[in-house]
Amino acid sequence: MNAFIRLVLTHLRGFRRDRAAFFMLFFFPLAFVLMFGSFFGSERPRMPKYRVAIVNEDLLPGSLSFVAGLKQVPVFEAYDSRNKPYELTALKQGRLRAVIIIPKNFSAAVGRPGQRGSGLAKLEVHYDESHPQIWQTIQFALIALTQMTQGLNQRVPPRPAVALRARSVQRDFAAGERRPIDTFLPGLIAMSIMQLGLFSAVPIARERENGILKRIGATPLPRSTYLASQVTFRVIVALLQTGLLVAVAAVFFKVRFAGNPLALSGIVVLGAMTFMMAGAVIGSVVRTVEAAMPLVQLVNFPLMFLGGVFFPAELLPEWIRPFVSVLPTSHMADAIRDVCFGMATTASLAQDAAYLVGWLIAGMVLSVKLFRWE
Amino acid sequence: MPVISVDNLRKSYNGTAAVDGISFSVERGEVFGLLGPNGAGKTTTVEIVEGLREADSGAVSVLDFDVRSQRRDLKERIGVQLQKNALYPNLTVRETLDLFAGFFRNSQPSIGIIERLGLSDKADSVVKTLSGGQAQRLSVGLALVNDPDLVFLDEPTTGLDPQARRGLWDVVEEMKRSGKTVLLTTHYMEEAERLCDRLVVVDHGKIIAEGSPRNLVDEHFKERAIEFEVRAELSADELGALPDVTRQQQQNGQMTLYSTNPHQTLRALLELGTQRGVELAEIHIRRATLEDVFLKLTGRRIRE
Repeated sequence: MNAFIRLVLTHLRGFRRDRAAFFMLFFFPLAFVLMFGSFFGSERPRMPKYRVAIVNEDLLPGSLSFVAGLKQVPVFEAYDSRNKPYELTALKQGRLRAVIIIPKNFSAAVGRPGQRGSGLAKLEVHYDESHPQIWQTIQFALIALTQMTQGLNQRVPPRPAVALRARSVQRDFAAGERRPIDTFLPGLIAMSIMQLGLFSAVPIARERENGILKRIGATPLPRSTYLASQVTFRVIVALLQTGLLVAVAAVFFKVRFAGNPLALSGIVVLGAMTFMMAGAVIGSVVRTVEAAMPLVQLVNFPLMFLGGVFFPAELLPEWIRPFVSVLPTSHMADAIRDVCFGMATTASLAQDAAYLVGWLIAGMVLSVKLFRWE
Repeated sequence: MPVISVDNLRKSYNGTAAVDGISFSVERGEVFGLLGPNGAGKTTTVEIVEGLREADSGAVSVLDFDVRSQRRDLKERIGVQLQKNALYPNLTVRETLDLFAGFFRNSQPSIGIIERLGLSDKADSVVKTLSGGQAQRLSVGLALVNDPDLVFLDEPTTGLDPQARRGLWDVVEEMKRSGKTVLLTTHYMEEAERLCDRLVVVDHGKIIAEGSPRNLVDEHFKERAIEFEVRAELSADELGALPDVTRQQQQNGQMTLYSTNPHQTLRALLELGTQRGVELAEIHIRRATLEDVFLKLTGRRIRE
């Protein structure tokens, strides 16, 4: 145990003291999030119009002309509704973008042309927080309306007749559709873990190439202890990396993490172990770094493209799907996605975990069998 | 009971014999040397004895362990320094020793080893900042973390400057004083002469001579060596015919005459030179060394 802990510490120290390695490991995924996020992230897939529900509790000429104006706004697909709670739920589920509630005293407050209105109307606007432009459009529409009714009459000085009460609404992730960045993040976490694991073949090959493994092999240390120390080290790095990705995506692009952090950590640990073991198998059979690289890529590319990390597996041809569904990548990516969106069930996680454990055991057996100090 | 006994060891790579029937035994408490040029099969032999390599045939027993079936137990009890000095570049000296100490059931504290290696002021420096000599001393120090009775040193001073080399010789002599058995390979004659109690000279995977450094020289040379610069005016035949000369060697512009009576030979040589009007530069007489033994046995110098 002593030897194991010291080896893990050794890898961590080497990692921390090797600034280039430290930097690269975190730099790539971060650069990916920032790039992807700023290019496509905060926009929803292009929609023809924003669906807006208008709950008019007033139904007098002032409010009716206001509603008519809203309906003419080109980006709105506005409709009337009387069921306020229903529309608010729909908004929360992402089926529409805003709910405008016009209060009973609206027409009275706005007044008629040439006439000052009485009182103050409180207009409630609930809108999807990721679409602040809806809020602005509504403000413009309101200004236009008040100018129509009041501004023509020079004798009446303008005064605020309508108080706007904005309510930004955070959508439920489990329901409605997602922005590209929302779906991208879990895929990115999965890809980072997969590559972190697979590319661990390279440092193992390097340690073999420069003779450190041979040196360790001259001591009684069991091969399994060495391999376990490498796996543990990578699992720690994978957890740090995932935490960082989730944090950056949350701070810069407001990606909400809806799931259970413990479940995510569990999947990350299991996934990192599985892919680390795959990396160890490659690292066990090659003698040099030069030989390790192409072999890693040979495994990396198919897993990346077939594993549902970049695009859904449903887009793949029929005949290849049974094969793909066995791959560890898709199961890890699915599990991470489910957890991130808060859609994970015990059954779905257990099924994905079972596949990963299967690959993990196969990797363990194979790498311990194939591993050579020299 | 010898600490190491090797009997008719053979190992070949792709049909070429690297070790071709080597036998020797090492007694407790002695420094035993394998001396020979690069590629003679020294490292292969040592690594088989350490349990790092499989022999094709032959019997090896180390500390009464069978190197094939009791590898773990053997590694627990021996100290190994490999020819290639491979260390984690980002660990400090102390961390490196502690790491390796953790690989053994029994180990000694790193601080004592650091002192013995003379690395106290470098204890907390990372390995990549060490000089070649310091890194090599650390590499030898790794062979001591489990306080072994038997230590293997594979070319411990190769590539070091003379001062660093002498520093390492002190470390080896200290091991010997503390009662450890040392198996050492080297292609430095001075090193073998200074450190080894007994040695075998290895060439092309075979042992070509065996004994203590002093006995080996005496056995092959009753003579002294007279060395001087080669001059065209003096033919090899003439020099060979000088009184009491038994053999002559010419290599790299240097002539060596082996003489049973150097006084007589030298006088005749100087007379011959005066007759020809040649002044012989850099002339000197020395005892024969292991280098001369190797030259006599193989016709080559050990490092070329």
